[in-house]
Amino acid sequence: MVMPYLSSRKFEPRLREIRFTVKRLRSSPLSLAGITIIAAFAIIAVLAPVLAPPADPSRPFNIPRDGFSSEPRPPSREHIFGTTEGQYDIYYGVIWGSRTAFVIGIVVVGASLLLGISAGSISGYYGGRIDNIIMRITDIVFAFPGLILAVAFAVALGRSMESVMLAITLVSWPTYARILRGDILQVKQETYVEASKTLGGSDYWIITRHILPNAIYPLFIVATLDIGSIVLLAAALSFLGIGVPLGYADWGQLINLARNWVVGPPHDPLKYWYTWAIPGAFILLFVLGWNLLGDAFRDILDPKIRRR
Amino acid sequence: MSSILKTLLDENVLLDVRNLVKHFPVYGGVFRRVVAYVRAVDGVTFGIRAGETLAVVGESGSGKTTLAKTILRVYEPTSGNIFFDVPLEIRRRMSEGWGLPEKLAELYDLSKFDGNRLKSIRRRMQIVYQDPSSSLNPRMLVKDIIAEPVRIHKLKLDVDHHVRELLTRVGMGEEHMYRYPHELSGGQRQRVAIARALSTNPDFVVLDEPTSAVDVSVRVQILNLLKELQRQMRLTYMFITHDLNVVDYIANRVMIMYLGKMMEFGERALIFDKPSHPYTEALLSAIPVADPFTRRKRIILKGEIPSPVKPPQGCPFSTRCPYVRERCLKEPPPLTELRNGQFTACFYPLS
Repeated sequence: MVMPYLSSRKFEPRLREIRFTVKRLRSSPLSLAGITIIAAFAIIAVLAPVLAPPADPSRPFNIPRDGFSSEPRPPSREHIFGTTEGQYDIYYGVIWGSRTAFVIGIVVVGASLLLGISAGSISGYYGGRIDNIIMRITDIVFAFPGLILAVAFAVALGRSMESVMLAITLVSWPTYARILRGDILQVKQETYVEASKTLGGSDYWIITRHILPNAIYPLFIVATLDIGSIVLLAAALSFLGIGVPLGYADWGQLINLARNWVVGPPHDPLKYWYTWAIPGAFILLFVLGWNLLGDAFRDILDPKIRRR
Repeated sequence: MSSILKTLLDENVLLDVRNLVKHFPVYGGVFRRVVAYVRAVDGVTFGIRAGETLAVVGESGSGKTTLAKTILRVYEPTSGNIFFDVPLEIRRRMSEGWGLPEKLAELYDLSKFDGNRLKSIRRRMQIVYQDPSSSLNPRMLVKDIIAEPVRIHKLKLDVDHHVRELLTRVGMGEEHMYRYPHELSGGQRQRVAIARALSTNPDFVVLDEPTSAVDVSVRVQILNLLKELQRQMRLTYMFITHDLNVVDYIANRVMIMYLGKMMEFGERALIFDKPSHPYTEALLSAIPVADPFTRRKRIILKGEIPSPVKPPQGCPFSTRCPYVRERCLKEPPPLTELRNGQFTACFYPLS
């Protein structure tokens, strides 16, 4: 039998690696589950205008309300998931909330990665005083519990989607900076880094061509795992009433509105289950999906366990 | 003027190193202050002629790699001068101390270069490391590894063609272009490292034990390749090793180092036939000979190389020298010319 490895003589090995990656992914049921869940959410988020057409296309994230009564109404033909406190439509809320979740997750992780990679690279590569300054800043952030600090930032910044994202970014970038710095300290001792220096490579060249490609993978794994917990943190802020403005399509907001209806009247304690169970299930599945995906990425991207 | 300096004043000298010193600070105490210095290279003067191979020999910790890396400006020299391809006239003026030596040093001394001037000189000096599995980036393709110097220096070349040509030169083929280093054998990896070093068409190449990490069966192939490339490309080698058989095979001249200082320097034949320094003699007696019936006098040195933080007061070798005398413990012996083409740092040379 001809080994595919040997037959692909002039074959671009990057393509070979991608094929191997796909094969690995397909052979793991948990990774597949993660991919399926996230893909489903992505479809919901993309198709939100079709699944739940907004009344006012210029402000699609405002959940339409049907009256002002505080008591939630159960699922009906008109409101298939029912309405929550204040007659906000739950179906509309969870569909457009998927979009909110993706926006928060991706923007916050993206911004944190950008900040973390810049700070971590400078810190790890140059060392010395600049390293000390950056690491003491991260220490300040680490000195507070993440949620408490995010609450403080969110309160200070005011109630809006942007301030939620900024608050969470400010709390989460130091983790990335730290992880990357640690890996860079190790990679920069490698001979190929010194070799590039004797070839005349600039600091920027060495960081982008040699150090980051060899140090960044653990960070991607952590980032994927983090998207779930970041969305959870955003939901927590909304739940506390310091996140997105009232009526904004967001899962945490829906949970917040359901706060008074977790337990129904004594003879029917689960009367208002739909107010919390439906948005709760969305959050649960979303976070679970990212965690499974993060585990899958770890198995694939970590060269130490990749070929096992 | 010391006698070795005189030999530097020659048209053919490509690399002229004068009194080069590299001390690494040792930090200690609560305030992380400098408490001592590791004297890795402690005042070394020598020259390498264009097209020759100078072997630098010494045991671990003798400073041979530090010397090479200081010349290549991986480390900042503590003091001393490095002249690389500087006209004889200027170097003579420098050593005779007339015509504004500071000004001249500014212009010609490699140890004072920075920025673009340093970068452009790096094109002409390259290094091949001991272990190719760590000196090649595991996430880069062979093609990109060999093309890296071209890209760094923005040379106007057809990269694909250039890489193919270099691979052929080092005895590999086009089919290796799209491989990662871990897909190659040890010998092939070292060939790739050599191809990378030659990518900018340098004049001077430091070979830092290039054969000690490869299989014995490949060793001779690599040495022959290096010899062949030297002939084709008019390369000048500084060959760091502790394998004296390799030295005998490849070197024109030999430099013996011990504790950051030069012990002996000269033509290969002279060093091998008439070693003058007790340390050289001890090294030569340790060469294994593949003949079970040969009985030789082995000189077994006692103890270990002293700490370069606190070197002995007199001769660096005095703590282990079998012929040590009182004078050796008091003052360091200067490097003197024993005969034409051989220098030794010993008060009581052997031959």
